[in-house]
Amino acid sequence: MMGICFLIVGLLFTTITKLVTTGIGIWGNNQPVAWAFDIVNFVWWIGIGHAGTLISAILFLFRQEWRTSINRFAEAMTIFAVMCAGLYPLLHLGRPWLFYWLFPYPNVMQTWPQFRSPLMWDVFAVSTYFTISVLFWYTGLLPDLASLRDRAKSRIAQVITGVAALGWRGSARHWQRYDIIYLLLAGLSTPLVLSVHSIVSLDFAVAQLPGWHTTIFPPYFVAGAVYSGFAMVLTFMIPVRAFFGFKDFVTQRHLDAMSKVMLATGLIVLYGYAMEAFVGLVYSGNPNEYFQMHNRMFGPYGWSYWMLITCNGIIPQLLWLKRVRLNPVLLWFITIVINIGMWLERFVIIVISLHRDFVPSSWGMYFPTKWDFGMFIGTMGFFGFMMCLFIRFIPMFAGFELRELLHKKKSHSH
Amino acid sequence: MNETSFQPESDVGMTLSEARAQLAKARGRNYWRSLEQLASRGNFQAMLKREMPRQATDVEVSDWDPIDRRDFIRLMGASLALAGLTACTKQHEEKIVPYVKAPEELIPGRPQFYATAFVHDGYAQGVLAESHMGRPTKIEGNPEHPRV
Amino acid sequence: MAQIFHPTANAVARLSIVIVGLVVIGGLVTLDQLTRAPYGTEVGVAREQPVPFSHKHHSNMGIDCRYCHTSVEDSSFAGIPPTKTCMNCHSMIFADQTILEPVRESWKTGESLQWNRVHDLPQFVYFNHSIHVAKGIGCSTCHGRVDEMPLTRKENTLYMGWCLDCHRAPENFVRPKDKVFDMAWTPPANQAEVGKELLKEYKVDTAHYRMLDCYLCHR
Repeated sequence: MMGICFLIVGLLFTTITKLVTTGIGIWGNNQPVAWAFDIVNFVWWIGIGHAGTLISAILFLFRQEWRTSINRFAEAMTIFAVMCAGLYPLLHLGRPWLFYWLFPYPNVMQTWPQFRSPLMWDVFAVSTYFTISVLFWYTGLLPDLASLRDRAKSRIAQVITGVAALGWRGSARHWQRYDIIYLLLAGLSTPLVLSVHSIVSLDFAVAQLPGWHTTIFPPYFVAGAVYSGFAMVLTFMIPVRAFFGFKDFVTQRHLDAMSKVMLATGLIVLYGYAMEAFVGLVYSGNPNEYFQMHNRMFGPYGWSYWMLITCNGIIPQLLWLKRVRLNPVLLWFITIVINIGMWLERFVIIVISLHRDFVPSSWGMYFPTKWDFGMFIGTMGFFGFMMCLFIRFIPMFAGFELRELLHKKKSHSH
Repeated sequence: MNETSFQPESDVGMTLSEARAQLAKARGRNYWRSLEQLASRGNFQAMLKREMPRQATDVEVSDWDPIDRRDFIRLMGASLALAGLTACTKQHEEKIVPYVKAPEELIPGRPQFYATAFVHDGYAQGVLAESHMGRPTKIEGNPEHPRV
Repeated sequence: MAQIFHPTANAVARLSIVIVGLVVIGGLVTLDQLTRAPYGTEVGVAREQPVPFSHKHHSNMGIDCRYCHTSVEDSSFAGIPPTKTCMNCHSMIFADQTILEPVRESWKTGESLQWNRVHDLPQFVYFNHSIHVAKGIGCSTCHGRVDEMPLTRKENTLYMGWCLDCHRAPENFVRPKDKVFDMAWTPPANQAEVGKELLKEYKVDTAHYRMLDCYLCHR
């Protein structure tokens, strides 16, 4: 598994090397479809990352105890997904080594970034999100790293885990501070769950393009992000659970609860699609909006819209049935379908909206090249590779939290 | 060891000076009109390749082939790291090469326009040519030419 | 079980927070300063030339800039004189100096002299000398006192920020047209008012969308 992933990481590096030495002309996007696979994948990956933050932060604040056995896993996924996501806009810059131009710093050009552009806000939103996610994940890891250190056999392992554990001794004072910090970070991450994808959606919503210029985008994007994030967690969790025999940690109840979250967010997303169609075809009375929506459904890319509706709207309705929610194989299949659907959603929004401009003379089609696919598959491999490394080297479950939970449960039952 | 082995350049391609010498020898109808035409002569192409190697082709032709996994990853890593370094390079030095005797009415940096003609199907076609220091950059029909 | 770390490890850990911070900040400041120092800007660094030509010597004899830089009023490029211009005088004056050998060599063989460019704008910048001269920007504003330079060097960074200094406030730099080639000109005390008057007279549109349009220089 890791070997396969590593091969795909090689593909990613090949693609990036080719991209850096040749330029982004190797991608299929060109006027009028200036944003294509790169931004589709960026939004997709960022969305996937959302489950981690939601599980660790919001569910923590709501004292949803079932989160305990999946939070570490989901947080790791968040970090790796954001890494994959960040790669795309970075490389789409064309000259990625000049990425620091995105940050406001006193420079010899005496220019500042364009603060009125949502793309600029995105830089801050995503980098803040990544930083907080890493801190949150790492803070949660500390006690487990310390127990790894205490159990380490070799000197090298002791030193490495010891440095990583930052001198954690598990004293009462440590625990008290830990609780405060964890709560604070959870509080910090909570608005991030909403802000990051809202701002990503503003990348589109601020532009005056039919299909993009709509106020429904922020909530609809956030719901979609959580939807795809939970789907991705399950896509990874179900095989890992079966393979390592973690049925006692990730119980039926977890699958059930996560399915319900997916169902709820999926319905929000479906409402979003319905609203877009209603506004475009009926309510706006704007010929451009009407044409855009009509073209989305019956234009040259119509297949992707109907596939999207099938994947994201129809098939997940099976989750209403408890039998489906408790059937890991079927559930796994549905999560894959949702992942595809959410990818298609971004494709529909970005490519279809762009390829028919206001002026028919500037209409065009978008065809991804092999490098587009190389990059996309490559990041999936990178994600898988990092997940494999994570499963191999880092405690997959928050050991101490599970023990704490068990302890509480026992004392309650008395 | 015989004489022929003393030609290390010949199988890699001609040198730039050889190319120059060949051009100097050319007389009459032997002129070349475009670089492509020049390139099709002898092993000029091989020389060009060596003068301006692209990373990709260089990897293919050099001793790196066949690339093993470690070399591959090393190359990938190095190229990514070096891509970062390009931001730190300075502009390379540039030469200014003025005329020895400047042509009359030529202002460097501004184009000159000529009403001229070329032969097409045995007839002169009047054209206007834009020239930048002797390099034609645009040719268009001359509406005031008597043949029009 | 033996301790893994010596107690001093705590101090090291705490110190490392400060040190990493200092290294990062120090590194960034160093990079920034290097970019602004002559190391990055090459301001004041005289380039080696095939002939050690002295602007000071020639202009002190009263030769006008335009005797050699003929196209400065007409073209984007100020013009580097052909060997012929040198030989106008040096076929008679200092005709046997070894220092001038490359010039005579060029004249004899017809091969151009190859000067090293001192003021080198990147290829993606469009700059036009003639418009600046026509609107009252003098040579010395950008090139400094070239008439006092034995060997030619850059007086200014030619960074974009430096261009914008003037494009944001041209009234501080504009001068009467008859003073454009006056190397000794310095702004008068009331430059702020005079400058505004001159801009009006030269019909310079100082609107931001003109003077600061990206497309003005990045065409």
